Amino acid sequence: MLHTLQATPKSCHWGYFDPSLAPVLRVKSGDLVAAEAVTHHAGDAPELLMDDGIRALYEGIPEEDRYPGVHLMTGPIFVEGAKPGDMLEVRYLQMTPRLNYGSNLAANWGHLYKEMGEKERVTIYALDEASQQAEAVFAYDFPGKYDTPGTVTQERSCCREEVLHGVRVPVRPHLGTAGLAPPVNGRVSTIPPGAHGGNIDNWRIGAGATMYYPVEVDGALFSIGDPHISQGDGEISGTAIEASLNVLFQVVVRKDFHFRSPLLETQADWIVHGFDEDLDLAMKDASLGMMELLTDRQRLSRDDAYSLMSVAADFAITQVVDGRQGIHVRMPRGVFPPKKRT
Amino acid sequence: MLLHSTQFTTDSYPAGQRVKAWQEALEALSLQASGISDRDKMHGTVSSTVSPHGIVFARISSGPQSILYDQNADIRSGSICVALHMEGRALLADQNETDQWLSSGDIVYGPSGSSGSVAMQSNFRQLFIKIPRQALRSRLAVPLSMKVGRVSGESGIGHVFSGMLGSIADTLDKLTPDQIRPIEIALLEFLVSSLASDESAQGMVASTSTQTTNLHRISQLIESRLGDPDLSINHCAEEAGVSPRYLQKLFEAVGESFSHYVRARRLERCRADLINPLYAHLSISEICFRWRFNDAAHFSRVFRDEYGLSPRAYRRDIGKSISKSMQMHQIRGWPEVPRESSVRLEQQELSPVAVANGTRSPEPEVPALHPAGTRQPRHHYLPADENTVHWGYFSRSLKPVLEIESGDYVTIETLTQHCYDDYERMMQGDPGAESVLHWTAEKKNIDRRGAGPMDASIYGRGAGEGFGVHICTGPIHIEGAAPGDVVEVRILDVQPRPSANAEYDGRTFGSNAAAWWGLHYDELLTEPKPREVVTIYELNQAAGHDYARAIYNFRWTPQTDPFGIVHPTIDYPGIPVDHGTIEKNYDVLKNVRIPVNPHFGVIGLAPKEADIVDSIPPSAHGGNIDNKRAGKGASMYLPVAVPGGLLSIGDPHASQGDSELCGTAIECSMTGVFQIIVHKKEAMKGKPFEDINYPLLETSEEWVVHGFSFANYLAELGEQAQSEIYKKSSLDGAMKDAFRKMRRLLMTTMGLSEDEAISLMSVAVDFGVTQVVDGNWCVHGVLRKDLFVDDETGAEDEAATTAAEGGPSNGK
Repeated sequence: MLHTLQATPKSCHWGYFDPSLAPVLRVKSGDLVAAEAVTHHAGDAPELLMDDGIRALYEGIPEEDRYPGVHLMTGPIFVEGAKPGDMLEVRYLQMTPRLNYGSNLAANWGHLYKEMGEKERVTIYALDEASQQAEAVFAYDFPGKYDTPGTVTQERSCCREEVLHGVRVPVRPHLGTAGLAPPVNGRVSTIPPGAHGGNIDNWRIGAGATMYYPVEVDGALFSIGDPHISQGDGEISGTAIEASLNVLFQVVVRKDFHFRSPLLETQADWIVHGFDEDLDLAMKDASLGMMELLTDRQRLSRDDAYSLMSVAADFAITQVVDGRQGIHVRMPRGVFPPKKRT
Repeated sequence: MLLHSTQFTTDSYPAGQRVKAWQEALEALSLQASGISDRDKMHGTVSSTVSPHGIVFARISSGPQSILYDQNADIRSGSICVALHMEGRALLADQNETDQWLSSGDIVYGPSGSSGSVAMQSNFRQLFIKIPRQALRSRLAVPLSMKVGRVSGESGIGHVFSGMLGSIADTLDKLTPDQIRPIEIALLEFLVSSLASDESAQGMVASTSTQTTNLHRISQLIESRLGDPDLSINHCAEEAGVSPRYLQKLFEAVGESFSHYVRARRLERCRADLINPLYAHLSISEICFRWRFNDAAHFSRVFRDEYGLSPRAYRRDIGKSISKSMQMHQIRGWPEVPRESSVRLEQQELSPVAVANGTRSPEPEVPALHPAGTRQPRHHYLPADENTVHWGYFSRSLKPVLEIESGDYVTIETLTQHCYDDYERMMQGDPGAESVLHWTAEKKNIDRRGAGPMDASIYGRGAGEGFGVHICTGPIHIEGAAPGDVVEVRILDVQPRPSANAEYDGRTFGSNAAAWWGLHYDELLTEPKPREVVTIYELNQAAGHDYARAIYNFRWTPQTDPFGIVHPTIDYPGIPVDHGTIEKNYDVLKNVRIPVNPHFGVIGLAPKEADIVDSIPPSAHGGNIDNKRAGKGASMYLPVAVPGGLLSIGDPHASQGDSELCGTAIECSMTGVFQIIVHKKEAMKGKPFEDINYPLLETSEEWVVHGFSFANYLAELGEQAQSEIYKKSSLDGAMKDAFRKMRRLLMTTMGLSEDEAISLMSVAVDFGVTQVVDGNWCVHGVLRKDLFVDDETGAEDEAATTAAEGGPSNGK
């Protein structure tokens, strides 16, 4: 069964997860969903990043309703049969750019904001479909401080400059933020990632990848947003190339295993995410998560798992700009022997 | 069809075994090799062919050694050998130990039983021919007592003969049975003439040299008059300028008579015609009348006296031995037999029992994703069962099992035709597989398997004759797809189908058959030869289908299908393998694991050229492309030939290497999620698939073109295309086709000039062998998308280069 979920003021929530939010779609395990994910940076170059649907969305959700976080989320989707303790498997099948433009903001929450003289700057990129590469079309310094999500900045040709001449960036569409409602009372910001998923900002969460989110509320209440077409590990300036995506995914309720944090499976790797305000502690969180994966799922002893992690797993910084910083650890799936059969 | 030739090379063996392998290979030709000095560098090749009359032709090349033409074991059958010395320094020593140097072009001859040896002092090449004495006997009206000798290839008849043998050596691999027959006849004539004219060969006849010359002249005269009804001793003597009496005496001197000799020669011609495929349409009477036997009964009697069996029996037995050799060297698909009329699907085959039900999603609850006015895509589910698959063929006449619209998503179950290799692991308890493959004495759920006749009148293998083997789910009718459009099949997800047997809960298995259509089949090293071996693999699901490991293998044994037909080889798909008849070997591929790369071998639309088309050869319509890159994340673009496209998917593979060498991949049932998009002809301008007339594959990083032996074999090879394609498989053709398609892609859609395209292909495009087992062999060309950068960057790089070379600065 294929469901479509268009992003409209009625089917979106901006800046928060909330378990009490009414689902906009009910699906069964195994269903396919084609949903729109709209960037909250469409206002950075409205003539390129907005179409009628996006404009209606921006006009339909008042600025005062966009809090405490920043991401424009489509959902939530109620998955029948999903109970706390289950895992929600989300197979991301397709991510197609809605418009061939995206925005990168060097934001006030960027890692080098101070070093760059406390300046915010927008760079607009165009996507070339044939080569799957993006190149910068222009940039401008943002007037004032960028603190209202979805700010619309009308064209200011005088300030627009040609930049990054001839440089091409490989395109890898992915969702910066996607996840389940955490078991809280009321709104929780979309910005810090956590066990529920949320703003993980790992560029590997693209088409072909599968995420496993621990379910904490009935029906899982899955939402997607913060679409990116490219981002580097670290997301150092505070944002990626933010661009709206149409996303096709399949949801499967998994009752046969549980894991403590959002787990990512790609063609090549198992990836465990660790989060903390302190990168050192995020690193510990990721290592302990991988330790648990190796001991619980692969039945290794703690000693073996520890050694294996050191010799085969790559740790990297996912992002340093989302409050709770992220470290992820990649374990190549190929290192494990085939499961022993009797 | 070409004559079957056998290739031998010592390179197939490890260094230590090459000398022994070489000696064994020569022994088969009644030759002995000895005195091989440099055993470490031993190298030798033999390319050999046997004519229908049992003449062996072998092209031999090797290094210094001594070759002995002396095979006492062969005396009983009796044969004569002739060798054309083509290259190398060689010294011939006969029984009398008289040594003669051999020059290139010289011919060495000798009957078996005589002895002689050639000392090869350098690398050499020879064409070696072994003629059964039977073939010569009736022609040479003289007893054969010849010994080893040499005919110079420098002048005279020897020169002409040598030239002919040289041509045979050159074309050995390209001869057809029809072509070899005149060569056989000419070969014998030349041999007789050369020997007769060569003084050193005079010892072969027990008569004086004048007599021999006259007899030879007269026998040639007779040879040219065999079809003449008036051929008599008087006519013949008159023409030869001798008296009938003298002629009579000449024959008497060699223990023959004129009339017996003529009859023997005419019988021999009849015998040749009886098995000549060109005369297959002539009756035995017609053949004997051609050669002036006026009474068929009489002919039959004398034929039996001469050869020990009746003409009818001879024709049948040889026919059988040819078909036996066909079986040894069988080729896939339609054999070369007249097709009375092209096979069509019968009425009841056209309509599936029921169109897959419950596959349409109800109307969605939320508004459409797409701009107003366009329809919202749906998701369909197409299970695999007896009502939703067709087996072994494509057909434009098949009723669709599902109708979809452009942009729709379809989850499609596909089944491997190899499920029955291990019923317990791959079929038991799986309703889909049980439904499709069900076959008992009472009921075979899907009777037609292949594009052959339903009554199996050709080989008797079963309905459809297995001319095409793949279980294809579909066809799917795509609304609005019209000839000239392109259908894009996006593969969004591929999941292996786990075993439904509780005993193997959650585990997934696949089968690989090293089958008779594999490239290896004629070149096996170890006994028993030939053989087919099936290896069962398990996909390791612990790490998410990462690796496959072999569990066991077994040698194919003749399997009796539920209808009582015995299948000595895997000549029909879906034969239940009786595990009581096979021996499982669990010690197989230990410590080896194969990365799993799920993909679909068959993705195709219905071709328009024929009503029913063998599923094996891929072509312009796609079909059995067997490209391992057609997995998750890839898109296959297929040109539409018939309204609605009629898409079928099948032949799921868990893993395959480029070339699919042994004939199959790890064949494993899979379920895929697809999105199907119609690109209308008028809206394709500037797209890479703008002018494709072949299956084009896109992955995230590459464009992949497919070149075939014949780009569209159904259109190019005419009515017999489905037989011809298996005889004309060629990588050369496939490579050329891939080159042309890549050039066109680069020039048409990437906008390059021809010179640019050609240079770019050489320096950056990878061509590889997709498969060499599906009749229409395939070479793919891989174009990386990241080769194309924007112009300005290029210009800037160039400016930088120019500057660095001291050229004019661009003033930047």
